[in-house]
Amino acid sequence: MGDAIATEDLTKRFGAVEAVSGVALRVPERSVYGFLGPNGSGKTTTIRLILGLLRPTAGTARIFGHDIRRARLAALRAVGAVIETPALYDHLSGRENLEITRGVLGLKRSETDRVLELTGLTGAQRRRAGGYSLGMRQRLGLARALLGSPRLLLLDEPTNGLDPDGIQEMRGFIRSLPERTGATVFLSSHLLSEVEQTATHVGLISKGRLVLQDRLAELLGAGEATIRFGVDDPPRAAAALGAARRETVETGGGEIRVRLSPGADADADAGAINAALVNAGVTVFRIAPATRRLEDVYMRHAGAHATGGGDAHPPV
Amino acid sequence: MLIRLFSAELRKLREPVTLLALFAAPMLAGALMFAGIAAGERAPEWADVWEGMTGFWMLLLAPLSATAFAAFAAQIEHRARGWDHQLMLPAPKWMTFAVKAAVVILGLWVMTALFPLAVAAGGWLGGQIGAGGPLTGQVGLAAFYRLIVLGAAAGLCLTAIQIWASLRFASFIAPVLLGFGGVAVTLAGMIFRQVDRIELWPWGMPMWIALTIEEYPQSAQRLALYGLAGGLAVLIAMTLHLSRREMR
Repeated sequence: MGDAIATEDLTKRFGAVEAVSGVALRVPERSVYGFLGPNGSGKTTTIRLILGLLRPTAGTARIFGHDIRRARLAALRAVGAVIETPALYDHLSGRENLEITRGVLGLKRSETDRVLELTGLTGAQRRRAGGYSLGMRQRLGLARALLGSPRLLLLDEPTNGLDPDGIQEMRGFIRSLPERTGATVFLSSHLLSEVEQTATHVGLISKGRLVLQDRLAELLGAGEATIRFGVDDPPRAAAALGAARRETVETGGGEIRVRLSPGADADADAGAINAALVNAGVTVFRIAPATRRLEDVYMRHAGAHATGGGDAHPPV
Repeated sequence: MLIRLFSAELRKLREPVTLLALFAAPMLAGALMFAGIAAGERAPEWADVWEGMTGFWMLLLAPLSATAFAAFAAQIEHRARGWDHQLMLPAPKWMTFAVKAAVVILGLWVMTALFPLAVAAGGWLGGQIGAGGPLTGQVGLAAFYRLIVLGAAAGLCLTAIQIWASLRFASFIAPVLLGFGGVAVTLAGMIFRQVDRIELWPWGMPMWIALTIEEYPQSAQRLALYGLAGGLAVLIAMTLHLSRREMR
């Protein structure tokens, strides 16, 4: 499978400010790609560059191999997108908003019913969009993006304004899209948990630079499991493990986190570490697997950038 | 694709305010005509009425209607922040803007077509109930239409400029100021008897046609052609400019 989105050295300057700098995205087909970054890090600008709504200062963006500047129509035929808060015609009903786009795309009338059903807006289709709640507007935007079953969906902060139930529903919906429709989803968010629960691939952007990009499973370090030991004397525990040639990842707060030996049986390895601690006179009162979280990955790669100044707020 | 975009633009205009925008100017002229005739003690001739109403339309109502309707149609998109969605659809950018302009021009032609009818109806009704009785002389609607059509052709230039400004600026203040300014210059030209200096002023061209059609019909026709050609040139420049612009 190829890339749904591929950018090379994508750069955008607004006067003296470089909003996006040398971004090289690779979004594999049929993936859910979480594009993560703090507010103001360049996520929306990157999406607008990918869609050809902004002209890049340098670099290229391709959608399914079509250069967005040279073959704009071919590229956009495969795309549905919602950027920021969906732009809706408030004086028209939800259905009429969809009908406008359906008409331009030359789709059958039944397509409007399909996306209304899919997004749970069938009952509200005759109401003016101006009277919709933020969550309904978000769903109407999504419905519009889904018209024609595009191969690529670009969703900019899709859970903004949704209530907790709506957020869960939206996450499930997004996760299921590649399997149900074969679509690729490019999802931008400043919410670490959202990307962690939804994406198969992750790109981290900070201050306009793509600082990391990989499969989520790789980033969370499937082969680098660690175990947390609750102990009465963490420094003594660290010294004991050092003597036993075990790698201590983190010490503090009555805990010590120890890396398991690569390739070893996790249970047996944990038992061996426990034995080493007990033999050294350390009291162990808790043993728990310490799975790596996206937050750890983020803080390692982008945290310094994100909190180092400027207006950007780190993801939460 | 052209037809699909056109029908999408027409769909966006489905709101009561559109009807108000389309009918306000002709109806205002008709209402004024009715009030004037009904209140008058002596019924004027149709020819005199047409002359006065032509000036009113060409100088004020037509340019200001173009200003208002272009701003109204553009605001539908600006207000909804609809450019992002509009321009990420698989349609040529130039076509998107050209169709928007075509819808505005069509709306203005509808207004232009309604104007003589509204004036004639107002005059007829006023004559029925006024003390002065019905208007005298031939109605001469066909000749009036001819003049109005020439004015509309000449007015394409100012219409195109108004559309350009309306689409370019997210705030309606800029195009409205432009429209008022354009009319003000024409008025100043008339007040200071410098009409010949505003012959090629886009907002003054329709008025110039109204002033010269009797004496110099060929000159009026030439001016209508200039307005038409200028309008088309402005529309082409507008679609090129806006297609290359980063719209927000």
